Amino acid sequence: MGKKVIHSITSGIVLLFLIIGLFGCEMPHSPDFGITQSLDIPLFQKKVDFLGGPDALVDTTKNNLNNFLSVDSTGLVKLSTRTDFTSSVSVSTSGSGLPKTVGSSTSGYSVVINLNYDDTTNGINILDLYDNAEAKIVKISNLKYFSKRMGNFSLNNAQMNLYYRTNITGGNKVYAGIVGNDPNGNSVFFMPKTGSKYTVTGSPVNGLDAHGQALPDNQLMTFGITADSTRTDTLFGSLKFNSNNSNIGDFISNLPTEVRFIGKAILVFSGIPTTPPNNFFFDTAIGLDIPLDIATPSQPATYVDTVSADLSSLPSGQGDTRLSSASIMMHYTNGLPLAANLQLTFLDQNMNPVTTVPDTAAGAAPIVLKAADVDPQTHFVSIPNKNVLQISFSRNQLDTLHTARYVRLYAKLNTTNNGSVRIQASDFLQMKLSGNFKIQSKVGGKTNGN
Amino acid sequence: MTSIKKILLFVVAFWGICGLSNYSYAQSTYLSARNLGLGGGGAAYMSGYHASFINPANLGLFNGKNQFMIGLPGELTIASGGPLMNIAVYNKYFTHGYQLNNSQVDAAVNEWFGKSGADSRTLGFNVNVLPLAFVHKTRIGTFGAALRFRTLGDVSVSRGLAEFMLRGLDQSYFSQARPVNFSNEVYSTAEVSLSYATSFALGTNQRIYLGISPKIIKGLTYFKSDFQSNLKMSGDTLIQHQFHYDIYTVGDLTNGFQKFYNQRQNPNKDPSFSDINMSSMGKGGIKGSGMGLDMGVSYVLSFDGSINGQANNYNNELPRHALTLSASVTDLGSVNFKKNAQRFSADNTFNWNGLKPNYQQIDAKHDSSFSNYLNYVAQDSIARNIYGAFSPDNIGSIHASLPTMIHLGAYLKYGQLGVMLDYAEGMNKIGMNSTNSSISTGVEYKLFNFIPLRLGYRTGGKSSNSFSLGTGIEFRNFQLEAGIMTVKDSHSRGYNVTTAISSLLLFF
Repeated sequence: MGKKVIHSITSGIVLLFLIIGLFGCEMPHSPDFGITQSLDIPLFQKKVDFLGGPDALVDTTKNNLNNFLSVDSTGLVKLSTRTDFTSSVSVSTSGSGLPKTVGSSTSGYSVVINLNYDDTTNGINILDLYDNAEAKIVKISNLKYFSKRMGNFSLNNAQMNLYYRTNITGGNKVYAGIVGNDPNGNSVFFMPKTGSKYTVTGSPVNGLDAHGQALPDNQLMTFGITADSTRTDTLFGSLKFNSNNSNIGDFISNLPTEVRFIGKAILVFSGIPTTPPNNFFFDTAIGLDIPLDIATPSQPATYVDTVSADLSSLPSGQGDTRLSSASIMMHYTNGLPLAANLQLTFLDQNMNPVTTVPDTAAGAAPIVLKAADVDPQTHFVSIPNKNVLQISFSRNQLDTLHTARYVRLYAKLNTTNNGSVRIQASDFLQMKLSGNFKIQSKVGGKTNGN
Repeated sequence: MTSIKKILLFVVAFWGICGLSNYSYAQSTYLSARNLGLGGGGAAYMSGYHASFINPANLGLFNGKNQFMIGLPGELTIASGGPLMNIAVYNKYFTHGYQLNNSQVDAAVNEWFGKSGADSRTLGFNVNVLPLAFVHKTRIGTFGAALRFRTLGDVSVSRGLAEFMLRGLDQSYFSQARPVNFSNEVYSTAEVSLSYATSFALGTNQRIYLGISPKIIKGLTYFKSDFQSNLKMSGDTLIQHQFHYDIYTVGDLTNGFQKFYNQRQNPNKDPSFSDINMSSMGKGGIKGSGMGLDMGVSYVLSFDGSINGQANNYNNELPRHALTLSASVTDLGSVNFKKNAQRFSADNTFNWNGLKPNYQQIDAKHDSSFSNYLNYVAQDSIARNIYGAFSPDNIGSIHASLPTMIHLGAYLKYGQLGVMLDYAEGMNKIGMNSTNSSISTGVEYKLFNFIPLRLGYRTGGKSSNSFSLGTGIEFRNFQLEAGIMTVKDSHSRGYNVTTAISSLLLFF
């Protein structure tokens, strides 16, 4: 009897433990939670040159620049080449390049000196534009893309600046020939307009040739040496050639990649003829300005481009995953003298607008890419602008982004301080885009929208 | 009787103490439906062919009238658990519909992984299949043989990886370098155990049993990966992922990795990760071999007077009222995987500071499609050439240790009531094995003398305190049993769930 009682009690205890165990042990419940995952990720970085190939802001490999620039005669922006003197070319009055006395009188005499190195293989005192040893050659690399790609491209209001520095005293006269060559070997001579002060009629100098033939007067130009400024014994002067006084339009329309210069100067001395002083030098630099009418204070130019952007993979907000916030940070270094007021319009597959960022109609601040500082003297960029701008999307915008298939970029362009600026092909815009996305996901439980 | 009561009191008290402590682990002891219901111990309790894997000394201590025991199929046990499987934290944070913010994620991960960024949590698993086992008592001792297939594995995940999964690429967290690590190891074996046990008397009511069970082991599968990395986000302009990994493979799987490597060296080839077919891991037959050994000793004190049977008498049976004390060492040995054993290693840094599109390349090579270009960047440039830039190293063989354990056990049998207490400690960290010691205890009562009701408790080892239940039917010539073990509160050291079925055991 005792054993039966013990067995019964023991059985009961064990069964009780079994029940407690069954109900007491931990069991995993159905998942029901939401998480917000961040995606703070660098998206894109790029340094974009202003002018050049497919990676440039202005893609000169295309046959039409009108999607970006309209070229007009009264622009505020000038595409310019730098005009640095490269090396000093000494012209001597001794040796094989002895100057030739061209005249004398009781009050004085004059001699002609070569403003280039005289390679005597083609004769003494004969300078040839196509003799690489003699001609001063200025490379115009900034225009090489234009030159390679653009046919029949006419620039009406371009300007060429001829800079010189010399120790030849003011008042003396220079006779010169200038030719521009494109990569295909096409040459256009720079010619003063008939009646301008640069026109040559009956050149008093000889030995200015092209391919061994003397340059005719209409392919020569003349100017008197005049100092813009003088430092120590060096005189700095410049000449500005435009469509009023030269064929600069045709000259630049040829899109030269090099400009060649040869010249001679007539030096006038007082007294009786004697050995003229030695150690003259005459350096030239040639700069081109191409005016681009891309912005005026009253009517900024607008750049419009539409690119494919299939955002269908973004969560729609109707399921278990939704984009709860999104913003794009743009770290940029703007080395262009242009500011841009940006607007992105997302379009659906039928090119109908889905949403626009920033939504200025709803009070959102405009997105402005600030222009670089420019040097007030040269009008070139002096200090690139480093800055950050943020593009944020509202809740409603995020829910519609998944229908976007295209993005249209509107950029209203202005120059720095709405002023006159000069832009070089190598001016750049460097930018790094990073995205900050928050993705809410719900796991288990009731589905959103159900 | 007084001593038995004291022992029972001790067991109950011990159980209570263990229940209060919530700092515990699971362990990698051999588990069948019988000992699983008693908390997973069994060095003194388990008999028959089960003893081959936990204490061969007890090989013959089964139904005394029977000379043969056959398991056909014998046993199926599936065990999984560890701190990574933390059901308490999961239930607390991930089942109530919360939209987890950063502070909640912090709290969840702190509870789950600990507060250090370098903390990691592991999950082990163990699958045992005994398709055939056999024991025969003879006059010169008890002999046993068993065929066992075993798969052991573990997975380890660092806190940083969990943070990455829950937060994404969150600059506020990854502004300082965080470890993002994971590793896993898995291997499968087929083994044949040949066991022998004998005994000798210490007196009329005391007996010593000795047993040994050497094993011939064939390695079927091996794979190991160890990925260590640091992820750092500098501002919002740079993501830096510095990583090193080693992958160990054998057999056909090695060929896939090698093919990928070879093609990557050839600029005219286009290697694909699909060449690495993970399902080939189990193909190719035997890839390694090794030896194992289990051995043990048991002391039996009979409270019924003389122990039935003499030394080497095949009629050994545990007396109806007896105390058994045992000690054993299991899974000594290792397996050497030699077939096509390779290590593939990479050491690299992935710096991502944004896409730098090359439009000429996009036009020339990607049909002017930016999305094609993006795919190329993601799959080729990043996946293949950075993360997939591994080098092979023919290492000859891969040494895989068996999950060696030592066991100390006590089993008090009092008629239909039995109480078991075990101490176990792993000597390595293979699969479910842990170098943390574990203590198991359990009570068994045979209802109507043929329905065993088992209740067990285990603390220590690889997961939190575990409770177990077991039952079945036990006839003299036939047994069918099942058991389950799980955790009441996995908060401190994770969850554990183990099930076992002893299908058809025949005695005659």
